[in-house]
Amino acid sequence: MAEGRVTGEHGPSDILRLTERFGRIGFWRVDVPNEVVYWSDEVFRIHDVDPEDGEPALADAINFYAPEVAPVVQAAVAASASTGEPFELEDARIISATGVERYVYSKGECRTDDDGNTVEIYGIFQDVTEQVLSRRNMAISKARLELVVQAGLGVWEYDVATRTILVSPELSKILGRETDTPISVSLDDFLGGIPEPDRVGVLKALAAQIDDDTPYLIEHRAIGAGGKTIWLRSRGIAERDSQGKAIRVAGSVEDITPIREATDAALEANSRFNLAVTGASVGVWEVALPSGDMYVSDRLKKIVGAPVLPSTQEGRFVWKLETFLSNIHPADQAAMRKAIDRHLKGRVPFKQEYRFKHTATQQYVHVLIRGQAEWDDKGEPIRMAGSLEDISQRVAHLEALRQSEQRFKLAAEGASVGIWDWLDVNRSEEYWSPNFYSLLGYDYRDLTPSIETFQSLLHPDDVEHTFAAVTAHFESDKPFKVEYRLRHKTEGYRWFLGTAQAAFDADGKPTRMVGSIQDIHERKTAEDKLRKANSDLDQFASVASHDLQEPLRKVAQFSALLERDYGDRLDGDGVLYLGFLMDGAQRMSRMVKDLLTYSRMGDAALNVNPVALENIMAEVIDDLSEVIRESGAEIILTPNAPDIPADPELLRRLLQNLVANGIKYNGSDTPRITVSAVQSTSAVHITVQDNGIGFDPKQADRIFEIFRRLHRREEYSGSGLGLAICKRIVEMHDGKIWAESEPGQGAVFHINLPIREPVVQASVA
Amino acid sequence: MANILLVEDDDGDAMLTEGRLKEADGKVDVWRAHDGADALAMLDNGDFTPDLILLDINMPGMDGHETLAKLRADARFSKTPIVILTTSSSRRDIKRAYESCANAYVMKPVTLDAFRDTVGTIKKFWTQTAFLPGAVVNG
Repeated sequence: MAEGRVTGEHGPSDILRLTERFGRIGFWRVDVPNEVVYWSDEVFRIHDVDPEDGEPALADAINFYAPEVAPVVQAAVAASASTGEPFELEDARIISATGVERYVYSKGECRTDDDGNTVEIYGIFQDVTEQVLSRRNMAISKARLELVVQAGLGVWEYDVATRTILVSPELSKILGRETDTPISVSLDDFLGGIPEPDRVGVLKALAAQIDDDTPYLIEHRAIGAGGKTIWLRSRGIAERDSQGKAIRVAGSVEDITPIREATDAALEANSRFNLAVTGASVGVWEVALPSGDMYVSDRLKKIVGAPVLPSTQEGRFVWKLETFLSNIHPADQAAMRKAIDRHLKGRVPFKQEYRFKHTATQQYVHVLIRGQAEWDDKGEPIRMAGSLEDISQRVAHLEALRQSEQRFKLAAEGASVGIWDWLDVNRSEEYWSPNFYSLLGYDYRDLTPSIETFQSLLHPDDVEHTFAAVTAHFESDKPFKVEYRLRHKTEGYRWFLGTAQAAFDADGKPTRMVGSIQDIHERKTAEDKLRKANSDLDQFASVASHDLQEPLRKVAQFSALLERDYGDRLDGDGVLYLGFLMDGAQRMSRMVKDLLTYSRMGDAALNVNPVALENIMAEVIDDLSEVIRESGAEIILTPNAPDIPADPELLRRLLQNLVANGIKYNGSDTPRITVSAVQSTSAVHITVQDNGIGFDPKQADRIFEIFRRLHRREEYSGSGLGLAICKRIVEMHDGKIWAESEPGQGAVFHINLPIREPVVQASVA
Repeated sequence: MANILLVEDDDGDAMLTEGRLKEADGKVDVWRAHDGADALAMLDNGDFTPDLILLDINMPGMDGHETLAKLRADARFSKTPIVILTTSSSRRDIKRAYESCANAYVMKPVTLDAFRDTVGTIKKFWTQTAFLPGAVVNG
């Protein structure tokens, strides 16, 4: 019987009653032959059943479990009854008498009669709803955050229907396969790469996420490069259809081998808060007052040790209260004494977390102590009893979770690739994620992560502004976002974008800083080159067009005067020459103007808003009305076009150029230009199709080059800048433009404009 | 008879502008200055009172901006219509000209016909239509 086991060695039997009340652990007993269940008060409370209602029948008790759990419980009880084996239920869902959903932990053992028949099953019962929910929320938020940072991590996507997993190149790399493209593998093949002991766990966790939305957050082993066993932290979340049926599960994987190796104890396998441990980790105690003699259970002695006593005193008491209190961490002592005092005098409930020095190991153990005194008629306390729970694992676990949570949260905010964590800003050591090392070409064994190491990698010219930004962030919480160069193991200095966020204590002092680095070298160098090239071009174009315009105007106007006032005195050749002169001046003037337009486009601030394509096309048709009338062209806008995410003025110019082009390079009697647009989740795709002369597909890229002409000037006039301007407009919107054609088959111009502020988590949320 | 002061460093351009002004309706006297300093000196001479000043921007010596500022600072010309007539289409020039209280900023068109229309319009508006202090309302 449970009571006997818990209190047998040490005295007062009402310890159990007190423990039950204040330790929040219930007890139950099943009378097997009679199928009757006996519940302690706490079990009644968890079920929201009044103890006055009497003992429930076994079947009724089991019916409190949720439909998906009840059969399991039924089977477990039946199995225990027939075999005498103990059973254990974790996170079992019950619906209480008042309809409240709770999660419980229950563990039972059997007592058999002399014939080996189970006559009684008894056990403990604990409400773990809070832990289950917080764990679930944490895992869900974590999975989401993780997906945001997937850029730097291994990513996978499991398709439920085909049972295949799409594996990102990063993940393939982690698993020792070099590839540049995502590969698709069957679930079985994928599981084959996971060592036997963990395979079932991964499969079960995946199935639980798909079927019950149980958070998929698992740490497991895998075979990495060179057949080495590595540890992975894997998260995933299902994307569901409107009926809630999982379509696919998207997840990310982080190689945590270094973390596992370094702090294996802190992040115990999957660091799942093991409730069985809680059940087994509660000791009980009782103090007689005012003598201070203290009785404790064996379990308590295991948790915090016990003083060695003369054998004469054995069996009476093991601690004096004062000795007991002296083993509490000095920093916690005052609070403990105050709490006891407040309980004894003011009857304030007594429940505190302390660090307690184990008498044998001399290590501090995190314990949760609950207690309740009894008072005599005069209000004097006569004794106090309670429980002592070992929560060191939970504390370590929560701390580890909190740290990793924060790490990923901060990383997600920075949308990063490599993560660093300066755990205590008063010290030098840091944590660097595996990606941090790999971005710099190092193995995690090569470098000791610390501020000094970081500084030694930092380009000397970047040290000052980088650390100034850290100081500014510490002092004013000014966002830390800095571009700096770090020395790559083999490739020299590379540009990185560093972002970070510090945590501050109550006094506003920074305590910790977590950040990320992102390799922006290609972008940075390309930008620099482009900026220089653009600025050269802009400057040249601006000056040239400006200064060229004036003499040109003079050439044009004086030749016009010459023709007007002296034309009748020129012979045929003279008139011809003059014609060339005027034509040349006019064409050059147009080129200069277009060049000026082209060069100036870079300065204008983009005003990107969704604009109605119909409105823009109406303006274009209006602007081109003369050309359209002369050519007899038909301009068709496909109905139901989506709004276009673009600067209206630039979009008008873009479409005007393309439509004018379609009319100009057109041999047919009725030039027909069809403009249409469709929208996808991330972009709007516009097409401008004509029935004109088309072009050789080999020239498809060259037509967008500046001053590139495909036709003789005598055939088709133009400055050679129209399409270059189009390309520049599209690129200003981070879009793409390309063209398809066959000679004589007309041409189609495609424009793809991204929709700003893409809904990043659309598939996740 | 409207007096128009044309401040223009380029002889060819000056000839083109003067020609268009004379082709426009109404009679005008065109006074030509070669740069800002020259214009201020002519005005100080007092041979005529300008009804309209056409001012180029890019000139050696005292440029159009400086000339405009000096004219506006002078009580005699603070309300005289001044039209910037230039090849420059730079936004900075446009902004600066209006900030210095130019009445209009006009870019010279390329073709002869367009230029004739533009100059004609300027002349007509600023000497006949606009009711500004100092503007003469006559033919």
